[in-house]
Formats: sequence, C-alpha cells, structure tokens
Amino acid sequence: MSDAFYNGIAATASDLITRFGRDVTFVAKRTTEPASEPWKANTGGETTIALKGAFAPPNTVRQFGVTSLGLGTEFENMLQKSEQIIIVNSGDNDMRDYHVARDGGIDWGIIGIQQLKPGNVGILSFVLVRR
Amino acid sequence: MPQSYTYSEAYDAMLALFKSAWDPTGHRVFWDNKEKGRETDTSTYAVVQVNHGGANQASLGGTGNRTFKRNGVVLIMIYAQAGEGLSEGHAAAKVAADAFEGQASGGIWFRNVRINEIGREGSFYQINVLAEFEYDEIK
Repeated sequence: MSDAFYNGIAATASDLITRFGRDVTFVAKRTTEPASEPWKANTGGETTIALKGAFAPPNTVRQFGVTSLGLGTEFENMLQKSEQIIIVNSGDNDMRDYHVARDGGIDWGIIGIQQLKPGNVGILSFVLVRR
Repeated sequence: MPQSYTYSEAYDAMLALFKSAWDPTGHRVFWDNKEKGRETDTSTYAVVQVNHGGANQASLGGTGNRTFKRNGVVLIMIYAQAGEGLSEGHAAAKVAADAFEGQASGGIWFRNVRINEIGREGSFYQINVLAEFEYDEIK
C-alpha cells in the first residue's frame, strides 16, 4: 500500500479524534542533565505539544487489541495497569519523548505507548496513562 | 566524631564514587528513576540502584548527639553483548566493583562487594555488582 492510501486513513482518524476528542497537552521530559550529578532531576524549560485526544477506558480498547498496533514501548500488563487510554493523532510526533498528559488540570503519567504507523504515515497512537 | 550523612547525602556520595570510576569507560548509565531504557545497539551499559535497608539507633543521647546506623546495598546491573563471552562484562563489572571495594567515602563503608553472573537478558548478558554499605546519621 502506498503512503497516499494511508494518508486517507490518517485523515479519517484525525477527523474522528478531533470531533470526539478534547484538548490534551503532552509534556516532554526535561533534557538538560546535571553534568556532575546526572542521577538528579533534569533541568530546563517545559516543552509541550497540544493534541486532540479521545479518552477510552482500557477495556473498550482491548476489544480491538492494544498490542496489535505495531510499534510499542510497553506490553507487559500495561493495559490492566492503565486507568485511561488516550487515542491521539500523533502524526510525526514521537510520543516516547513525552511523560505527562495534561488534561484539564490533571497530570496523567504516561506508562505505555502503542503507535500505528504503516510505512511513513503516523495514523494514531494509544497513550496508556495512570495518575 | 564520625561523619554524618542524610539519606540524600549518602546517595549522592555513593553515586559520585561510581560515576568517577565508570565515566572513563565511556559506557552509558541509566540512573534510578531517571530514564528507563536500554542501549539500542550492543554497547555495554549499566543500570544503577541504591537500596536502603536497615536503620537502627546505635547510641543514646540528646537531640543532635544520637547515632543512627543506616545500611543497604548498591546494585549495579551491567549489560554486555550476549554471545561474546564474559570478558567485556567482567571488565565492566570489575570497574563497578572497584568503585566500592576497599573504599571509604568519608564515613560510608562498603563491605562484601561481589559480582553475580545472572545470565542472558535479550541481546545482553547481565552481571550484577552488589556492594553492601553502612553509614551513620547523627541527629
């Protein structure tokens, strides 16, 4: 299949997530490591991106298989451990760079990510979160 | 009077000992509760944990003059490429062990420093280095 084919699917996914999702701010990990004591917290400003995200309870997503998306960062028992799954149109963003999903004043810790990206087209990601 | 360490001060002192020994190897370190991960190629790397264990009051006295003994284990998990024998892993483990064995960082004492060959873990072979530590907090 060509990228053009998947671009159409990505557009549909984006449209659905935009219509049924809400604004979620993803906060990236700070990247400036203390040189002399690298085990301490990184410093630097907070980098964020704003995406639309549709929230789904884990059991509803399981019906069509959270582990079947393809690229994933965590598999083991993550579905059971997560409180919510945020379905986002992540596009070209590498969601592994982000560790917090900020939703209306609640900071959800990101504990796992599944990404659907056939070829070069990022269609959507499941972001597994827990407070 | 023996040197006094808080948990955080002792943690920093122990990791500084390891860092100064490990840095010349050029291998990466994944620090506890910082970055969860592993090397994406076959380069040797280490994962570091400090696990406090016991704590007991070792002397009587007024506030500011009581000694509390702290102890625990520093755990360094060394991962070297699997299928290549143990030379690389042992060399890295030796660096980590020597960071603590026979060392006294101020008032932190290390005992029973040893290595433990764990076995294959994915594309790596894991060797653990354990160093039991003890120090005092006076408060």
